[in-house]
Amino acid sequence: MRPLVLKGLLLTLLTLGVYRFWYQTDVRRFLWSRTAIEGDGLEYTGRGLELFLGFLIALAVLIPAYVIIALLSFAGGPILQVAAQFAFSLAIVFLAQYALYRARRYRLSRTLWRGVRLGQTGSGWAYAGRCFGWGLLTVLTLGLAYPFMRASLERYKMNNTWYGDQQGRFTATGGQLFRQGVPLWFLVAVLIAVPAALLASAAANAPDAGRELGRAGWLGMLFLFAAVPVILAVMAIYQALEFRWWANGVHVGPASARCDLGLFAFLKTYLGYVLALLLFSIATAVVFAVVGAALGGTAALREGGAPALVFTAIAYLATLLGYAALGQLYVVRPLWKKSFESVTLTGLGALVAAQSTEPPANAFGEGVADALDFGAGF
Amino acid sequence: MTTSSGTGVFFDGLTSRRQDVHVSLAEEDLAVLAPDGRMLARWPLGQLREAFTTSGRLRLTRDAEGPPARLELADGPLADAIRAAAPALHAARASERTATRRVVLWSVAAVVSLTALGLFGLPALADKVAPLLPWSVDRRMGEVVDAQLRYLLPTGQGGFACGETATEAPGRAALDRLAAPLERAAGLPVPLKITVVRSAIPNALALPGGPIYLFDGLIREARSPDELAGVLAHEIGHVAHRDGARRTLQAGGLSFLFGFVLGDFAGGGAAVFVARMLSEASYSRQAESAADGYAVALMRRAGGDPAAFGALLARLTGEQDDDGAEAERKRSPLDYVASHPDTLERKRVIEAAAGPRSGDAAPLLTPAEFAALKAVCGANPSKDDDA
Repeated sequence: MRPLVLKGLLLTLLTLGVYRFWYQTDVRRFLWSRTAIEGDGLEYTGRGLELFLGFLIALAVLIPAYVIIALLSFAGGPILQVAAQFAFSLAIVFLAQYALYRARRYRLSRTLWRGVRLGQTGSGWAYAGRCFGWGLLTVLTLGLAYPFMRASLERYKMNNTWYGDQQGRFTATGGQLFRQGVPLWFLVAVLIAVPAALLASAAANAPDAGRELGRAGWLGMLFLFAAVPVILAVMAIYQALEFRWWANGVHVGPASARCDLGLFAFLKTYLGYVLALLLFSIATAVVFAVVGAALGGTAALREGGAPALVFTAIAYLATLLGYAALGQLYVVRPLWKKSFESVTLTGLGALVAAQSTEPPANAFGEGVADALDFGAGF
Repeated sequence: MTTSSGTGVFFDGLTSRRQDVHVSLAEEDLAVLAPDGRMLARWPLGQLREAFTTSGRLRLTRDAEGPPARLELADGPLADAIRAAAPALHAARASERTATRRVVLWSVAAVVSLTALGLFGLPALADKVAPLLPWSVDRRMGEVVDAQLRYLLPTGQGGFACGETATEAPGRAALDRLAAPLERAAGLPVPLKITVVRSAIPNALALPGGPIYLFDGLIREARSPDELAGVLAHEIGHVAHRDGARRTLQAGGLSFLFGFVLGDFAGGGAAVFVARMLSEASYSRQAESAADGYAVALMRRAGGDPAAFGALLARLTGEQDDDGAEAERKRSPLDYVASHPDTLERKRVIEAAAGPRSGDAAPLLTPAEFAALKAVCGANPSKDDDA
């Protein structure tokens, strides 16, 4: 996969992003074909040109909307301006959910297994509406409603997922996810509440300052710094937990999935990624220091001039390219691999699907998601 | 043809049934036969295409309307024979490569043309559009910026603006006396509104639609009333040229062009930033030079010393020219990034435009008035309230 990623990222950089649609297509084609179910690999039949056209269509719709909003907020007073900004942000989140649902439809309808396409029915607007309502409830309940939101949304997605003429189902419940996840929720709540309380008490004891932290304050800061990596680790564990919960609820026709993903599987991947990032950062720092010194020392660079600019630009771009490639190779691909390897499918023998009569979907949703920077990933 | 048949796996694209089949390669086509000898498919060799797989097997499909059937063959003599016999097997891959090359080529061309549009087209467009806007639009833009500045700028104790208390009022009166001939000579369609900002930063700026901010740090730096009058004349130049509105139009267009059309991705943000910086800087250097020219002409009409402004500029940046021997600075590529032209260069141009001064011209303020103006923010230098 390495040459594919490096070539794709380099061309993406060179074309200021236009190549990304073809790069995404290459990555998907690779990942799909590496995913075999009962010995037969998936095939991704989408094309870069389709994604590019989807993006252009999305622009044709979004640009006039942007212009109208800009004019409206300009014409009104300051209060209207703030209100317009707020409404605009909400609208973008809403539209992004719609787009993500449509993007899923595109990807499914470009997925072939044993000569039969997958597909998705249902309405992107209905899905976005659900997201919105549940999202509001989740915020109001400090995240406690989140498992039930996940269950509701996955039910909607899976009930509208088809393999040929075989309908999908989702049987995992929000209650299950809640029971499994609530200890993690409490852990995070404590990790946030303790330093917050310590800092608050420090602020209350020394009302005039901000300068003098005091013992409680220092303890709070220390706790906060220690808590951040722990919270990140908890998130990685939760991600694995949620995937296991999700996969165990998935059915298509008579076939069902069983998943035995270890809770620390994703965390290990992320730790490997952090290690790779560290090594890469050290290596690039050394390389650029040596090259910089060879180019005539720091004095020449500090004085400015064309060589310094070019050198800085190249160093910057190379670093960016490296980070993006590491993310693809050390996060996206291993997570994909671990997810699929942890799943066994039962009842496949009885799964005989006839080709769906639905035509394949277009890439409008992918385009909107991309234009809103809510990229649907690889 | 030696090897012309073998076994494979066939998916007919109608159902997901997996069928072990017998495959036989003939002169014109490839026949797919069920174990009982029934003909399942007959694909002309010219329509055979290879589908993407990393499994190491040969996965075939047919380039024709119809269900997405697939035929999979283990790598071996039969696969080799088919590769040799089917002329268009890689047509899809080849055409994809051509398409990719075209995409990259045209994208680079588009990047070049968009950059040219950003560097030259947008400023030209903003120049044409800004004078057509009614002044009320400028004023509204100015109000927005004004509110933000008042919120963001760190100022000393005693309020944002100087000259509003009884002790500071004489300084304010002196400033108004200094500005009056300039305003008369400029004949702007909007009233001039000068605010003295209680800040030690030596700076002055003009907002869209007329408001001018003169910072206390700059007033304290000045050695003659004509130097300050020159600063005001320069800022009035920005107002008269409507640089604020032009800048807003141009910046909006640029961020739209690069940020939205080209999209965001790894590294894109950096390219956008560099392009914006270059374009805005080159544009604003032109605007500064134009405002300098305006200031010289306005000062002459108002009866002040047009060259004083240049002296103040040079003093501010510390690029003093001792006994006329100017330290000739080498032009570096970073000059294209600077938002203002080289100070000595500006001073030279201003002095050339000002011409020799007739010695009898009186300063624009009396020494007493100038002293009052210098103390418009109180006797002590205002310290920024940034503790």
